[in-house]
Amino acid sequence: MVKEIEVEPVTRLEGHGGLRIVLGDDGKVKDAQFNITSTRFFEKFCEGRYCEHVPRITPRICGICPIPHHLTPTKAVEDAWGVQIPEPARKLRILLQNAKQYSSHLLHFYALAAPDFLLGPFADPALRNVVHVINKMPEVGAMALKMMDFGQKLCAAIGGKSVHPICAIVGGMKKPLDEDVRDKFLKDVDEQIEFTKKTVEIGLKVVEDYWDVIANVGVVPTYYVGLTKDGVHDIYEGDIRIVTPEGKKIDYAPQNYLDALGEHIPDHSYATHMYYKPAGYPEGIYRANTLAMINAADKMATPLANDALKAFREKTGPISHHTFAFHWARLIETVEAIEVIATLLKDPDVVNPDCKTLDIEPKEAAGVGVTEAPRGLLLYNIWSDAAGICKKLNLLVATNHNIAGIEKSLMHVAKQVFEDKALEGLKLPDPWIK
Amino acid sequence: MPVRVAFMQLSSCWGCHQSLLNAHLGLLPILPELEIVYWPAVVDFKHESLVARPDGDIVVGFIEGVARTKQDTENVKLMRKKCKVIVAIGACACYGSVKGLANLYDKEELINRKFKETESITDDDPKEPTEHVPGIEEFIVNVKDIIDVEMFIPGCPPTTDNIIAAISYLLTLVGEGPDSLKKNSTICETCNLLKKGCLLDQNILCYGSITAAGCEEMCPNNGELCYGCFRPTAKPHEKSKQLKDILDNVLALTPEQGASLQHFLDLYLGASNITNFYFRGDLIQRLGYEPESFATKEVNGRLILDVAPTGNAIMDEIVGRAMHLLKDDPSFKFSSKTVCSHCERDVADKVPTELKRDYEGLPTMDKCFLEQGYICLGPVTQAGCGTICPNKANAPCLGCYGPPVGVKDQGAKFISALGSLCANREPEEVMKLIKDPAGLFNRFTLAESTLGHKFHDKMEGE
Repeated sequence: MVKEIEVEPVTRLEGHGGLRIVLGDDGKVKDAQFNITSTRFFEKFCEGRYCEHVPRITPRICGICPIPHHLTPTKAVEDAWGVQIPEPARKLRILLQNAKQYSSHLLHFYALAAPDFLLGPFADPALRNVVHVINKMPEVGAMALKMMDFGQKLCAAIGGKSVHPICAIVGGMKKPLDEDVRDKFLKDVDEQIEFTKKTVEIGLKVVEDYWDVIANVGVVPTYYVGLTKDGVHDIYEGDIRIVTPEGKKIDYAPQNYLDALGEHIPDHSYATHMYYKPAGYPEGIYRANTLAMINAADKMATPLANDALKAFREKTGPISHHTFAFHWARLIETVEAIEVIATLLKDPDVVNPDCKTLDIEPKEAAGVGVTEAPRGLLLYNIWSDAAGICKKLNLLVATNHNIAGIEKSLMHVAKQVFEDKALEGLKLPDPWIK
Repeated sequence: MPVRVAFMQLSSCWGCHQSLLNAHLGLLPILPELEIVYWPAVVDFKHESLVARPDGDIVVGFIEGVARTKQDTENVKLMRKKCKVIVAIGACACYGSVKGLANLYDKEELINRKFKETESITDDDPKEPTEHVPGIEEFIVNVKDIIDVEMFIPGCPPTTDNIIAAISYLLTLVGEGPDSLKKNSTICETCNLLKKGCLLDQNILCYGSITAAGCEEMCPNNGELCYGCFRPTAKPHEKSKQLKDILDNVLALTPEQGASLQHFLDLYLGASNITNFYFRGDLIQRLGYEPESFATKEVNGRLILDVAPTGNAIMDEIVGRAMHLLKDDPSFKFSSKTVCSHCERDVADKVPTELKRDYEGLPTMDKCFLEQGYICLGPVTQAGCGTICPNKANAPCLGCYGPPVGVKDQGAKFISALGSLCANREPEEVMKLIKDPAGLFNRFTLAESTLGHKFHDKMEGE
């Protein structure tokens, strides 16, 4: 008898999705699907809007990563209209992007992912959540909350609001950071660096505990997509970098994205499947997000993060296909984020009022903006008419870049679980929280 | 006892959840008060566990997002069955938010752009996904037009403070009250004035006869009348008939009586002074927002509003009569403030000296945006956000808190305001600035608006 295993909904996820695994009579996995069950059509209803207002609509695509969804379309319009922005505005945006990276990665690590490995895979589902983690590990919980709070408050200080910011405008930023506000963050940032180091320690302990799982479950060779600037890890600007399963790196200027990125419309998911066009579908399925960024980078942009990258590569090799290593990769990026934040808070440009180009003319042209959102590459391609009205918009968001890769990993793991019984001999640690 | 709650996420962005989680350490006192039985964003209960619960089993159900898919619509109805109180949290659930802008297009146009025409699509013959996906609704219909909603928390997203305030307030409403509360007794029974000279005998409105006993600072014993802050008793005192007679004999309220009734209803029905969210179950707020939504009935030759907040006939008649009197009373004002009324920018007359698009120049922080020539929706937007955009971020108000009380269409209201502010200008000059009225003025409320969009066209055509 054909057996269908359904997980509805996938929880601790910031969107809508279900998993479906179909097993045949022979116990073989026939199908594995990741069904994304919601979509909202931003790419259509942004048509007809003023281009400068598109970045004030699109943050509503994602409440966890509204900042990249604010900055990226702004960059796309600037690209279309040929607008240069003052250096202080650029630095302020980089600070904002990193503040978001920091709080989002910590939210993911502590609130979304940690319940899995702190309670273990066999815990009571009623308890396997962040509330229980906070109750059982109050010191770690309080530290995690203070870290997320720092990141979100910094987002709000620059963005106006941390969720759905309004600070960026075509030509720069609406205002610099206030000096007294900057001073408050500067006072707290050293403590945050210490918290980050502690978080990395916790992460490394988890890696050690679960190494058997990381090294043996869900090791799936795929392509990867990420953003790098001259080969260095960057989340605000640079080139789209494709990494082949063998570790070869190929760079594309954002404007040439159609040469690299193909979109397949699956029959069973509203989120489309992205893949590396020259390799074809499904062979060219890639993964995005933290592990992809770490695989793409020649080096990290800051010293502590670069040390963390070296330690990672010593364990996994120059390219890692370990699905469970996404968490570790996320921590490396978290270290970089807090180092960038610490550096930029000391930079006088972030309080410099010269943060907006004043003379701007709309132009009939297309533009591309790319950044790296916390969950993966984010690309906006906008077409403006001569009056500066958006005629057309193409949006390639992190979800698109991840779904095909997740489904491929799911198929791989389903076969390991149901066909090879690979979980049976696996070494699992005693849960930290019992 | 923790209160049983559920959070339902429709098609949305997670931002309302993030705004709640932004309380961070502020969450710690609230979490133990909640028994969370469904919240996919945070906890691991699956959909089938919600379906399996008895109807009405959950006290408060929060709904976030818009009903974009058929599954969303089913989930809205499911929540109504399972929850006693439904809270629409955020601009999406209240009035559609930016996702309502999709109502400017037919479903086919939306689907074609996303699944067929996009430049990066490589399939030869791409089609709308149909397998194990729920199907797309023709248009976005707001949650309150699918089911009854008791409470609305506006904002995109609502501020953390607004959400925490709303949750805390709800917890007090469904809580058990102070230990001293005596539901089976009334204020009259321990009132010194009962023998010395009851206020009702002097034709003064006092509400002790229908109010539960147990307060330690007895207002009547200090010469003040009782306004009912200990809320309905289970057993009204016989003096309540006298209170009802006074109300029955009122033809038009004096200003003092009007103020007294409003103060009484505020306290007695558990209303609060929080105006940054709308609690439909709060009858006095509903009387302000939607006075025509109540049915009227006649009792003993007197008109009353048909409400039953206490479950006791005489007390419900007193409340219904009081509300009927207030409804048409000119001194009854349940006005809400606008973003403008809280904005710190200097304002003279709001008349623009020139008209600008938002990328032009850079506004100063000290002067009204409209006077500087930038479109700002402050005059037609409900207050409660803390005026973050205009005062902290140098950005004009986009209108995300929706219209203030009594304004049906935020966009139409703004157009009429802009018309009078620009009375001395050529219409062509103004029109040059506003090539996209729907996106500028109804960005968050288009699904609510009747401004000629396709959903309403279709409804009217049928």
